[in-house]
Amino acid sequence: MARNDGKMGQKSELPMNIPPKGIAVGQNQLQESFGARHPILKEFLRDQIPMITGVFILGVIISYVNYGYLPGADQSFPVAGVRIPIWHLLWMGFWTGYTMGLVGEAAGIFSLPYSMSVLQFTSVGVSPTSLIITFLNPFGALLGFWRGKQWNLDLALWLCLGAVLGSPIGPFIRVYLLSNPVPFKGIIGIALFLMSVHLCIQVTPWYLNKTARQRSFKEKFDKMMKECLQAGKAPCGLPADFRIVTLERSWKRLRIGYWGEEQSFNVPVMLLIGFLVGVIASALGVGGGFLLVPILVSLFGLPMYVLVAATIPYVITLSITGLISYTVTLPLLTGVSVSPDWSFGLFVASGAILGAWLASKTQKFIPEKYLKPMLGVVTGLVGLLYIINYFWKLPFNV
Amino acid sequence: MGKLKEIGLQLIPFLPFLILAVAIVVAIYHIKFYW
Repeated sequence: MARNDGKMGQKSELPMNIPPKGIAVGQNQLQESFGARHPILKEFLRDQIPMITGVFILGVIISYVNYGYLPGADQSFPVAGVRIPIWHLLWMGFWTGYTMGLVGEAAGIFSLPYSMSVLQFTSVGVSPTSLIITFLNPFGALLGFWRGKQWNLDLALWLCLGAVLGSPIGPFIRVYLLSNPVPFKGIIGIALFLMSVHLCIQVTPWYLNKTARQRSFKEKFDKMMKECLQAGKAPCGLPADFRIVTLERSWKRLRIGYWGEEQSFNVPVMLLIGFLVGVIASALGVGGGFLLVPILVSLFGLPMYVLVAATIPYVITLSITGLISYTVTLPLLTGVSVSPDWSFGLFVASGAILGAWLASKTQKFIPEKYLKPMLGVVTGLVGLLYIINYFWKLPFNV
Repeated sequence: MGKLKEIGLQLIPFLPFLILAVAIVVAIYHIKFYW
């Protein structure tokens, strides 16, 4: 029985999950109270740690099975042909997974240029290796957004089907048209530059006024953040009961609702978008978010807190079908073999899973007006360097 | 401890900036010692 300090008829002020002195509790009750008190820590230990360690251990096993040793700072990764400490691959996965997860994309569009320019992994194998990362990296975020109810499979379905049809074509383009690293980096540069323009433009008053839905969502988000700050809480911009619900579903039309807003989608258009982005993204070896996010924002005015419900499942689907095409379809049909560096990809992916999960937990605390210009400037600078280097050889390596 | 947690939560919006800064430092380290 709980103490009530002699105030009969009043409820005890002791929290329900803290047992009073002298009362024995079972292990289950203790676990329950731990989970209730530290839900994020519980989620991290239950979902993320097994996934991160599992992928890392798989990387170690594959290294010994494929190469007979563990590559790293002393011995190079055979397919990549470069020496890199394993902690650096984990870190690269973490920061690319985190920053890209915040804008609803996979690590690929950052990890691919980083692998080529900083780590000097420039062979064609970098594209399928990057697809290993973009396939595994969103699982952490996927679980995080699913538990946070930022989730709607109807929104993702048609885009994913488009990816299944389009992504097997991309590897053929990569091998026959873009095998030289300089033009390939030029194309990546264009992708980065477009992404940069879109990230920067989204926070301008012109853009926000143009898209009424974005503006109304932003006003609600900012108001909620202000209220949280005034109450001395973490500045969270989304309500605890935030949901993305399907209002109507057919072969032609899809209608969803979120936080008092509604949006309709033309299903064949969604399928076509998924297909085209699938072809381009698998040719480059990225998840496709860099194209999908601007398209969905421009056509439908979706805020990034809703976009992730479509982009994360899309990236996973595109990456696995693209990877199968690189490793199975392409060699079967053409005899050209493009192997990914499995251990390189798995080490980066284990860091990226952690980064993407952390992004899913912190995204709603981070205001778009700071995040997007920052990422826009970084991607724009790298993109410009790649484009310039295609036309005029720069005096330093890019 | 509670105060510390509160300050930590208020700093979350700056986390991407911090992570990006560390990423640049690590990249420079790699270029210097592994190229």
